[in-house]
Amino acid sequence: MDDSAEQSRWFAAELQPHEPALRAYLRSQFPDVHDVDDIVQESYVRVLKARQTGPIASAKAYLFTTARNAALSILRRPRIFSEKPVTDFAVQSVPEDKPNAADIVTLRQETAILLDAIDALPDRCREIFILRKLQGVSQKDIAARLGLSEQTVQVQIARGAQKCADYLRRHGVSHP
Amino acid sequence: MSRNVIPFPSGPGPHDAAAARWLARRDAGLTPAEQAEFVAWLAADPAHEAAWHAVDAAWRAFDTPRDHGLADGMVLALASRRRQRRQKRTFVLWSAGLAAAACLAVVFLLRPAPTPPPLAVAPTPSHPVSPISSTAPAPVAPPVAQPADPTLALVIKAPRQTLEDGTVVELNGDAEIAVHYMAEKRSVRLIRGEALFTVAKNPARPFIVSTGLADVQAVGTAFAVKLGAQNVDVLVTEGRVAVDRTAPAASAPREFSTLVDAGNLFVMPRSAAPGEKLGRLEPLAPAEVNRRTVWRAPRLELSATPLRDAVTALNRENTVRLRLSDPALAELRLSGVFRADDAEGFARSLQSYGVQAERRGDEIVLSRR
Repeated sequence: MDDSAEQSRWFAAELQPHEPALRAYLRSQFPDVHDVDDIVQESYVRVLKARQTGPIASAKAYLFTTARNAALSILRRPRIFSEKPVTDFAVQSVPEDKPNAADIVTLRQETAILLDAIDALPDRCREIFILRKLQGVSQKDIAARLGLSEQTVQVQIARGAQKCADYLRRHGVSHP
Repeated sequence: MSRNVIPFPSGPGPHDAAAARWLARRDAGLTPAEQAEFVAWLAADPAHEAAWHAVDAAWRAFDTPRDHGLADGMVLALASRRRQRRQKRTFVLWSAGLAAAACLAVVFLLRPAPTPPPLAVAPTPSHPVSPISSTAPAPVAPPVAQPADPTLALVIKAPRQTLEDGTVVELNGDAEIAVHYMAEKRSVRLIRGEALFTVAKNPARPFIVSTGLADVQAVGTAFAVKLGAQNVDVLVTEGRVAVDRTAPAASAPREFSTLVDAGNLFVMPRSAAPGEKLGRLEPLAPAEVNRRTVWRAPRLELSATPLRDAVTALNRENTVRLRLSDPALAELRLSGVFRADDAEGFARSLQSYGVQAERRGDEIVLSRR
């Protein structure tokens, strides 16, 4: 815990102040990369891990280099669905914005599993999960709407996320 | 489109709960101090990171429905599943609760089996509910009033999609189609159920629906194809289509044997032998065409729903608005299936329950007689 608290302090002092500059850098250099949040977080973790093995001379330089590498590796990652041969596809309940064919097959199966996963949640948890994930209501607004404390909503969100992750894992949801 | 590649570890782990707690905290918004704590937690142990990635990936997977406009449909589906569970569970309770709910006016409609959706069901003026004993058999349909739990006013719409060429497909119930567009033709296979196609005109690229039994070709027209147990039906609502037996090899251009014009139904028995006539033509009255395609209309499902909620749901769907002039009416409970695009029809069907409907411009005022 001490270690972890020390890491937190070092992070707050040495890395966190660079976040706005790092985000601006990523957005300007890698406009095609959408998950800037992920890269930032991922880079923090890598730098902190590197620090466990030895001292870091310039935290800022290390952070930016790490983030750049992460962004590059995302750009190099092959597009998963574009190369698949397409013969036909089903369109039940498919929206207007025309995703490509192979996506739709997967989307339908995926949606069915997601539906079952949510359906399997306990009542209160399901209600909150639906508001948050399907209707896009923030935790704060859910608390206000249902007359609950934000803490209670947060606990239910954690519970729902864990149960749903478990459900997906048990039903083998993963893509090649 | 971003896909969810979900790198799940093999099974649940000791850090799952902690990772989920972090996820919920992060979702609520982390202060800089909390973020520092979070990142330190992640870096502390590779197992933390793995647990985090698993729960985070799952959490993101649930963004897919909203990204693709499927979320509303899922909300309805979940509500309907819940309702069905409750109907089963509260069936016995219901008869007990009925005394307390004696003042409820309930419109009872016949509702066919849960799927395919009940359509074209005109509200039947009805029986005030008579108590059902708790020894009554099978706790299934009809929709049961649930005095203990005011339920949602559900507006349900047939799935509808615009294909890449502008052709619009509407699916009835659990219908399913497969689309295969090529340069020289647009080919669609009807796998199950009934679908209505409003085809974008393109003579150079014919639009063909195949059913296995027969192929239906259209140039610029609207028609429905229905796979039934006994027959395959083709109903033409606009323009003209050509129908022929499905060819073994569909490469060569071919003549279609039968032309079907708007307002006609072409019925093809599945039992017909290869030498026999493919099907028979039945001219339909316009009202009959409407009746057969009414599943395209959005419908409003009520289940012991307060009139207030039904009115809110209808007003979202219609330009003619309903208004309750008497607050007491708000609590009137209704069950049944109505067309969601016909506020006037809905208002009319309330008249037999002592509700008076008066049209004033774009408004229909409901009051007690």
